[in-house]
Amino acid sequence: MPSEMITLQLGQCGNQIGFEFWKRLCLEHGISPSGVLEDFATDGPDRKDVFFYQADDDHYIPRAVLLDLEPRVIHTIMQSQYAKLYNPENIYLSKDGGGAGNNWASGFSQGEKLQEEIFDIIDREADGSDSLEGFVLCHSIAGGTGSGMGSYIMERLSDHFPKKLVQTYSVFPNQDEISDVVVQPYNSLLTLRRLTSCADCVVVLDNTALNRIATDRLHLENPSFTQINTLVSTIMSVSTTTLRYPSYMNNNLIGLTAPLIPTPQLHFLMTGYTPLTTDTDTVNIRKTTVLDVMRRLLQPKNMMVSTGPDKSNHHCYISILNIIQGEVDPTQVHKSLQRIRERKLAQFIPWGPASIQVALSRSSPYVQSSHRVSGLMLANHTSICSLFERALSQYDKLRKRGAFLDQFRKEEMFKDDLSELDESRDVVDSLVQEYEAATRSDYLQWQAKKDVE
Amino acid sequence: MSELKARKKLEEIAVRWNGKVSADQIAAVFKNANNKYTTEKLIVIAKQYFRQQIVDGDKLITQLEVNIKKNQKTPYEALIIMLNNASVCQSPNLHQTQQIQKPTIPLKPSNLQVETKISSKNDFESPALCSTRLDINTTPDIVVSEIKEKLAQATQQGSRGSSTYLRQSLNTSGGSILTTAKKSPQTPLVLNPISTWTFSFGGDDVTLPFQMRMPKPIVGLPASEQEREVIKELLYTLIGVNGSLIVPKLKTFLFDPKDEYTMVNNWLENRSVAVEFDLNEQITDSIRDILKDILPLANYYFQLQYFIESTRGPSSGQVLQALSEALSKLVDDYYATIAQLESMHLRHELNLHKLLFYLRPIIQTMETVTKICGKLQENRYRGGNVLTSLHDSISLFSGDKNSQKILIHLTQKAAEPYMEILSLWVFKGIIQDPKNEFFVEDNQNDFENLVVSDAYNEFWDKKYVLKTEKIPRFLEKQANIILRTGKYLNVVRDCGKRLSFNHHSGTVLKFSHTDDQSYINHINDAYVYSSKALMELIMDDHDLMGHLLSVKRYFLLQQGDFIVQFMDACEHELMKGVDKVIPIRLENLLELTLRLSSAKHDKYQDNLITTLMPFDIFTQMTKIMKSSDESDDEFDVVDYDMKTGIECFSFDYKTAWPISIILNQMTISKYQIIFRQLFYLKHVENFLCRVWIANNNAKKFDQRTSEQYRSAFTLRQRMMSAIQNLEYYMMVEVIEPVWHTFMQQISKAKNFDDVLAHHDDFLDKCLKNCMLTEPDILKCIVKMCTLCIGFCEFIEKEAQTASTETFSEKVTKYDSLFVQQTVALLMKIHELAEKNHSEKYVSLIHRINFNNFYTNKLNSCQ
Repeated sequence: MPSEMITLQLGQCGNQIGFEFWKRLCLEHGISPSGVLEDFATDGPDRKDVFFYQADDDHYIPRAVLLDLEPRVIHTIMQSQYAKLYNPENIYLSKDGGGAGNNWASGFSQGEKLQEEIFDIIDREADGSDSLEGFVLCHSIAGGTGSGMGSYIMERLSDHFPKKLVQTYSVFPNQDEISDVVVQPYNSLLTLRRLTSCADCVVVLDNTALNRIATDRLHLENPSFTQINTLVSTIMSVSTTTLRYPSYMNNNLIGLTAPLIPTPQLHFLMTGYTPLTTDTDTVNIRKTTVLDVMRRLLQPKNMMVSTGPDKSNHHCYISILNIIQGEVDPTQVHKSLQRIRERKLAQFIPWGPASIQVALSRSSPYVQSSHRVSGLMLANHTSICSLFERALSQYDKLRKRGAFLDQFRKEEMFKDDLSELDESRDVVDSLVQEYEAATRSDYLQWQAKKDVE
Repeated sequence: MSELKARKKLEEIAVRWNGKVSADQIAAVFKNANNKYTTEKLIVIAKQYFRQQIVDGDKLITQLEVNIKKNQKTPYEALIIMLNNASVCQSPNLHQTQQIQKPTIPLKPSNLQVETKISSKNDFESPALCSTRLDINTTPDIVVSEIKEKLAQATQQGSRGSSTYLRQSLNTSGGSILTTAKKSPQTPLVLNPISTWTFSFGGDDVTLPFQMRMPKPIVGLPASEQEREVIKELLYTLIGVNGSLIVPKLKTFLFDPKDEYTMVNNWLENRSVAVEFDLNEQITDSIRDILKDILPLANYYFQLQYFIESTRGPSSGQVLQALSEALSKLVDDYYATIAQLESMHLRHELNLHKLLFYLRPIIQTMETVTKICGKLQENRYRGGNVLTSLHDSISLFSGDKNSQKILIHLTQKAAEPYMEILSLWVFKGIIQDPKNEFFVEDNQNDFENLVVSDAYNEFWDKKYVLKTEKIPRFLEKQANIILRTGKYLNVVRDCGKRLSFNHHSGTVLKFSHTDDQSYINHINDAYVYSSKALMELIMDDHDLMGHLLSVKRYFLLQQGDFIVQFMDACEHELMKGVDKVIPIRLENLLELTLRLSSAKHDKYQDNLITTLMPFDIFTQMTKIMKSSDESDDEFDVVDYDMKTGIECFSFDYKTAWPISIILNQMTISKYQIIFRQLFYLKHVENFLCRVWIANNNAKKFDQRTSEQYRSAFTLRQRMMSAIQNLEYYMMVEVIEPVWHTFMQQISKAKNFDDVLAHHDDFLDKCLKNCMLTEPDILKCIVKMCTLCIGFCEFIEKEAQTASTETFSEKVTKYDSLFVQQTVALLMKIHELAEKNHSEKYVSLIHRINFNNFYTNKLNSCQ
């Protein structure tokens, strides 16, 4: 009866990163693509049952639910060698297969229509676990299915399972390239509202930053989805290592996330990872120490979120958790923390105690890493609000012109008025304000101001 | 040519005689043969000189005889022929007298043939009493039989009535008087204060023949005859036979005159004795003077015999018995010397001056030995002390080579039984020490009746103890190693493992003064073997590391997922008052969790059991700090009823021999302390997490509502941060690094005591650095935890109802209380850190106060 997690993969993007995530987990736990435990992995010290369960014939099945409104990605998965891994009952493809047309409203309303079938699957999965701890949602906020249907499912989940944790891995759109989805700002905003009010913890995966990292740091000319998704799956798997390779602390998701999130709204987390290398770039110049890793993790260029320059230099960390893997001398941790503290390498909030927590985690014995020490940072940083500000301004631009609203008006929700959009804007706006307020010492007394237009 | 060769050999042989004869002298004897010696006489001379010095001596001498008698060669020619045929023995002294160290420079009085003791027998096991021993021109065989006869006579004469012990043994012991003493240790005598070996005191003993009681009239005799008579009597006196001219007088001194019991009951053991002599007035002054020099020897002889007799009994212990035996051999040697002197005397070759001359070295040696025996007796030394005393005397008498040689011999002999005990202990781990002489003591009985797991607390330290006062000096440096060696072997044997240390199993250690290394090397070898054997047993066969890892997993919470699951399972039960908790339910939950969690792979999971302690963590800590036997009444069950289950809960770990030596109640108790603290913190953390997820409903609230809760949320977060940092600190900064060091030490540890010490060190460091040894800080932390729990309970209740004024007021109250306590805790830790100059504690302050939140808070308050 471990603290099981059920993964929900929504839409094209969600299923793609989910696919990479499972691939990675199989590799780390020594599970073959068909779900059979490899001979070398029979008595590992790891906990496979957080993310997998065993079928009657003992082969491992991911606690994953795959949902999409159009068949392309799921078909690719089902034609890959991992086809047999998944429980076919957990794969739900909309029968008409038409997709959501990159429209949030369409996704949302289709979610509503399909909710019974979807929640049948989810309930069955939940019943199959001894002590379900929560859900992990993989989706993008810009498209139609992931954002729209995702939003709907999030709303329902928090009603349906009020005591369960809802964590999302949400992919934010790339700002550097012009999207072919014209209503992306609407989609983003509407999803952001649900992420704010329905999710307990959102791990922000910013495509802008991921692409930049791929091109600048990994020197890939045109990073493919797969390459980007490998980055994502690394982050997802490392952020769950403490659950899968249990040690002293952080053995359940709540223990992991609760200290990172002081007040319910401030639950958007950034991630950073080091060292970032591709297969071709494996030569180490020098010995990596814990301090090196922790210092690099504090550098913006390693962050998977592009927050833009902090002009007023007032943004700060609300909390940090570093998951360090590899050969680590535990005594180094303290020294590194001390150094970071002395040099004030990290700026913290003034209204509460905050520090860098370090979780030393084992890593899979079956995956060879070329790095002695590697680290993942999960951070709650106030500068994340710049992402939301950007979404707001893009939305405002579009909204002022009243562009592309027709597609939304077609759906039930927006038939009468567009108040949903305005409300969402308010929610996101006050979220931005709250993050801004969190940089100040009077945060406890702060009250949101309504925009008076 | 042949003559030259022969001459060379002759010279070689002459050298062997240590210059007593020269080659020229021997050659001259043979050259002048026709005039002076008969052929027979020459053959006798040849036998004396050559028999033992050349290979096949007998055959060659026969040949020589044939040459002279039948072949009509001149003796000199025959000698040369013989020498040409002969080859000189390589080491003639050794093959004849193995045990006797070759005396160095013999005395060589001009007119007397004094011979070094090459001809002496194997009968003499001890080194010569003095550096010279007389040879009365006769073959040794004759000497011994003569001595026997003389002694038999003497004892017959001297003793009352019949010759008892000494004569009997003379007749029965294969023709050698010198073996008599060998039997004595096995046949304890019923001691009579006056027995055959010594004088009979009180001249009115009617059993003596008349002439023995009356002084012999010697006044009328010529001076030389007078001297002869005196010498005769003196010689008797020297072997404890009463005379009429020299009358012995007994003197006794109690060691402790006031002790009446011993006075009456232990005649022999508690007094020193001496003998003085009254000289008949017929003896002239000049003789008297010499007698005064010689007679102390009779006293020494007497005292020595007295010592031998009194230590012969089994109550003296093996060491003294062995010493007693060795000494009686020495006395045999002394008898032989006196007998030789007597035979000289009978041949009219002895006068008092010569006698004194011969005896002087003997007197000195006897004095030394007697003195040491006196000391042993006076201090009532036994066992190791005797050996220490003897050993010390060796270096004390380093100026007196001969005495020293004898002392070394005595020490070796006396040490034999002791070394046997030692060998048995060191090679087998067995103590066979009926007389309680060995310096390792077995307290077996104290441990046999104890309940299994309790017994091992002190087993290791107390089962075998070193008795420092019993250690012989020459083993002092090795004492600890010796103790461990046997102890290790014992454990190994107890576990039913065969000892394969056959290499030395037959060997008996021997003490030797000169080459100290051999027995020390053996001891070291045995130590290396035994520690290796035990390490293999504990580490490989019984998988100590597996157990330690298991204990670490459960008690130090390393198996975090198991702890989380177990906590989830039993939290409900443990939140009750401790008197309402049903232990069997906990046990079942534990079993269930063990089977379902990743702990199921642990092969020692069955050793883990639950327990509810009747006292809280302070009390347990105090107990450990005192680590002792003081009565616990003052603590017990003080407010037992008010405690919740979680405060009293702990794991326990069942261990079996021999793992229980290391994981005994004491060490487990230390683990429990750490466990209770961590478990309690974990529980608080868990509670805070539950509140967190419940609070997350607030994300749906609009900003205005959530603002009211914000102070409560941030307070909860502060609590979470403090609690988690405490956990982090204990686990990651204390336990893990100390464990790391511990593992490194263990991998280098060569013996089990090291392992024990490292383990204790590990635990103590953990306790100390986790600040569990500081009652103040411990109290602070527990108070903080209680506050957190109180707050959580408050939030759980209140959060459902609408927010009111009183809610925020209460939060503010909690807030200020918490800040107050955290600051107090930080201050205390700071004080502690300053007191101990320890970096460790500072790092905890830095963790909790990483961004100086509390510092700023404190400053703003002031």
